[in-house]
Amino acid sequence: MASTSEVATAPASSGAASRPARAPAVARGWRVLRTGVAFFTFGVGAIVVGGIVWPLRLLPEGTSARREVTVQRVVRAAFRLFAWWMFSLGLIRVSWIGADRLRGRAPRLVVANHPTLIDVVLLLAQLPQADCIVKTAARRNPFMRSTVTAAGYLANDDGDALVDACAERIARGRSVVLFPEGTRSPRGALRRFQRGAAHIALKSGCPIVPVVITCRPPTLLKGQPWHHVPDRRACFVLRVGEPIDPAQYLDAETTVPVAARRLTADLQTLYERQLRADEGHT
Amino acid sequence: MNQPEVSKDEIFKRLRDLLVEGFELRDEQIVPTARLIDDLELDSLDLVDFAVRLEQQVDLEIAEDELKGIKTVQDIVDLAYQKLNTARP
Repeated sequence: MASTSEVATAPASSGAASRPARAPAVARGWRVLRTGVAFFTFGVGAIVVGGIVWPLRLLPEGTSARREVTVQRVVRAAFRLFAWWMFSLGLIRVSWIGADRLRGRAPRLVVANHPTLIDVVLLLAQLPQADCIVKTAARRNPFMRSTVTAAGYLANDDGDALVDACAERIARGRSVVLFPEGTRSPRGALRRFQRGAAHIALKSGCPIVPVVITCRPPTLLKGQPWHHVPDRRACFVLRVGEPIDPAQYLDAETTVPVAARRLTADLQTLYERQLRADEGHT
Repeated sequence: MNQPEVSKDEIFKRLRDLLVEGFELRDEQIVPTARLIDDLELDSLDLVDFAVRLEQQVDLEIAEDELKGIKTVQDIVDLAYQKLNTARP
């Protein structure tokens, strides 16, 4: 804080040319520090949540489904707290449009684009219950392993088995969240959607609820170091679209692979249009 | 001299029809050198579905290990040719 004050009160004679350059540098340093605090908090939070849910492993056999949902509630609460903390640190602002479509207990397949590292945090903070798909690395991470396992999150190892596992969860009344790009989006664009989401929807008959995420200015991109922070607070908008009924893609003459291709192509078009429309409004 | 009852040309035509009907591909995409994943954009789920279709419609059973070794349309033609003709008395 002292350095901020010093820059703000520096006399004009100290060099007019240096003032505009120093102030942003200090502001940036302050933002990097707060971002570091956020990352550190996330790490500590992961350990704390892991400690909270660890005793649930001791519950008797046959209670795993209830245990998983309980752990997911703990994760939801932790992610809500973390989203609030990032807001309080002045790093993000989050707006939801159409969040009503995510309420209620009916199972749904929530599909989202993936522009930033914290998309899953914002989604899981909003959903009453959600099974998500995690990378093998997250399942092996010593800080997250306990929680990821206890929450019953699914591994993304095998495409065929994963589709079956997701459909089975939905059949048990659970909701599933997935990112059809498979990994984070490139800056300002979308990767080509994989067809897993469509296959899960077609197999389970569960509606797809599309969530289009935008983040301006872009931050926490894939491959971007954590300290490469934007020059201002990042504003997230999460727009929940109308549910898409997969049954409309299947008829007596359409094979499942063809239906999956068409559904995936329509999903990709929907996201591209929405992102273009959002781009036009900025 | 053993005369194969099913020629490679005939197998190729049947495979092409299967791929066109089952996966919404165009005739001209299905050439012997076409790679199933990179050129025809079949994913792992499509390959499993394709194997089931081969079994149901061409009476050709492909094991999971064999499926993993298939890269191109020609690979399937060769495998089918070998299996269909050795299976005949």
